[in-house]
Amino acid sequence: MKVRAFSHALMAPIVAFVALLGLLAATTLYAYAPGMPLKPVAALIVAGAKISIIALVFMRLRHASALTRLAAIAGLVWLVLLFGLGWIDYASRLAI
Amino acid sequence: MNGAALHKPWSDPARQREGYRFGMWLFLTSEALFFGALFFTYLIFRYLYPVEVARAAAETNAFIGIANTAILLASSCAIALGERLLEARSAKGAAFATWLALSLGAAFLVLKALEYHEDLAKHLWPGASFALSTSGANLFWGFYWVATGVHAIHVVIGLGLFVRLLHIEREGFHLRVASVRATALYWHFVDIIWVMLFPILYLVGRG
Repeated sequence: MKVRAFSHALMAPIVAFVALLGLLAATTLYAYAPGMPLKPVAALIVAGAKISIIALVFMRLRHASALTRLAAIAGLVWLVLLFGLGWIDYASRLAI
Repeated sequence: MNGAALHKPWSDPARQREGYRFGMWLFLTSEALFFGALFFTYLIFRYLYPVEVARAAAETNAFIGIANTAILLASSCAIALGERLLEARSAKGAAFATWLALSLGAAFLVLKALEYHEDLAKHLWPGASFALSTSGANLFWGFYWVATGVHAIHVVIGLGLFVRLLHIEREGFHLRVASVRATALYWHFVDIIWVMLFPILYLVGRG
């Protein structure tokens, strides 16, 4: 591996780690700030951003093969089905 | 990577690499559904008891939660670097990164144990002597113990896999790149689960 490509490969996880720490600080500060709106939603959006960074950079989905990406997307689809169908069940129940 | 050992039933290294990676992703997908069911239960009781859950969640030790999140992210970064160092044929660098990831994972468990000790001292185990009496608090703390307990078991398994990697390192790390990659993928997944647990356990009911 050439030196430039090697240092680039090492830089990616380090930059991702710094970004993850920044997001951790941001979500914590927002949660503790009094009177801020939509705190649970903001916390989940930041968690989604952190998970995307981990999946794309640390787990290398960004440069993965089509087969690997398909496995990851299939997992996401099944999770959406689990939450979607489960939530429809609760949302459509009538009070007794 | 050239020089990686070829195992049965693979006929060439490229197919072996792809097979290992695909198999690991399928396993992680099944794990995601297992944890997904847990997260869904949280969503339901959070929807049913929003105020009680927020009050119960404010009892968690946020300082340890934040510290443990940073530690696990650092550990994930270390093994990601280790994987890349190994691909650059730096076996020593990869071994050091694996040691670092292992040490940070162990530090996570030590902090978690301290937190559990504090939680038990505050009677936050749902049961006869539970400190909080509401239904929402019972559900939240029941979820807390199950979710963090199952996650901690995954951390222990991850640490076992790191120890195995360090054992392999003595025999020839460069021949087992697939093992390093599979372990790294598993560890990043453990990190992802914690990243989801952190806001719903430690940031609810603050400020």
